[in-house]
Amino acid sequence: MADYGLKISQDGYSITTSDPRNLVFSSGFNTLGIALQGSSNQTGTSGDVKTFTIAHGLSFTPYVMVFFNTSKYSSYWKSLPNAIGTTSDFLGNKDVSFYSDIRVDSTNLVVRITLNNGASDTVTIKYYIFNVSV
Amino acid sequence: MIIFYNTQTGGIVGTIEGRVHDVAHLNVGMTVSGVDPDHIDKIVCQWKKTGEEELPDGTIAAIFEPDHPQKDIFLGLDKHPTDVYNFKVKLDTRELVPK
Repeated sequence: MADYGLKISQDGYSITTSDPRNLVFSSGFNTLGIALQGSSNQTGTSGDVKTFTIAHGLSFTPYVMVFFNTSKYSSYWKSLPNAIGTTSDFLGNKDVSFYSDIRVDSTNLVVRITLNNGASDTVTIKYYIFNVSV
Repeated sequence: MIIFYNTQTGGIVGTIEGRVHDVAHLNVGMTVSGVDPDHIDKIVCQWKKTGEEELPDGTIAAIFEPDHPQKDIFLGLDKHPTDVYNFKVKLDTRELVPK
């Protein structure tokens, strides 16, 4: 590693002698920056397959993270992909089942969710697209 | 914030969060199932620098605010972005109105 650059240490650690794990930032390492973040939202009923497509505009296949919630269980966000099947999740909810997945390439992030709420429900996804290639 | 909406219903289908969007963000597209991509348009709210303030420690901090007629709504959405789905777009004026 070069002996020049930028470093920020945690409070209480010397910038010159601390281990890299005690640095908040070092230009000696790649950073996982967010290129794009946002949300999308669709309403449907049980059995509907909802697809969300974000044409991210990056020239590479980015690392992504996606979370979702539904209007029925809006107090928390769950990570995707998610495959609960016909059983309940650890909170006892069957808000999404059958199938849900994420596909990403150098053009699109595609999220597909099958609703399983019985009645009409709204699913919201939150996506994070990073400036790092998979 | 960039808001994607259905030009047939006014329903909001998605967002890109942030205050200042460069060309890369402006070129991003979004589609959802059941909506013709040709029926999705977007509203862009950029933030602009309106001044500076000196903090108690002497630091000079820039002040930004939404450069949009519905500034107050976008100030709220900056803190709670998914609250955008409590709104829809009034198609003739392209204003956000509560559902």
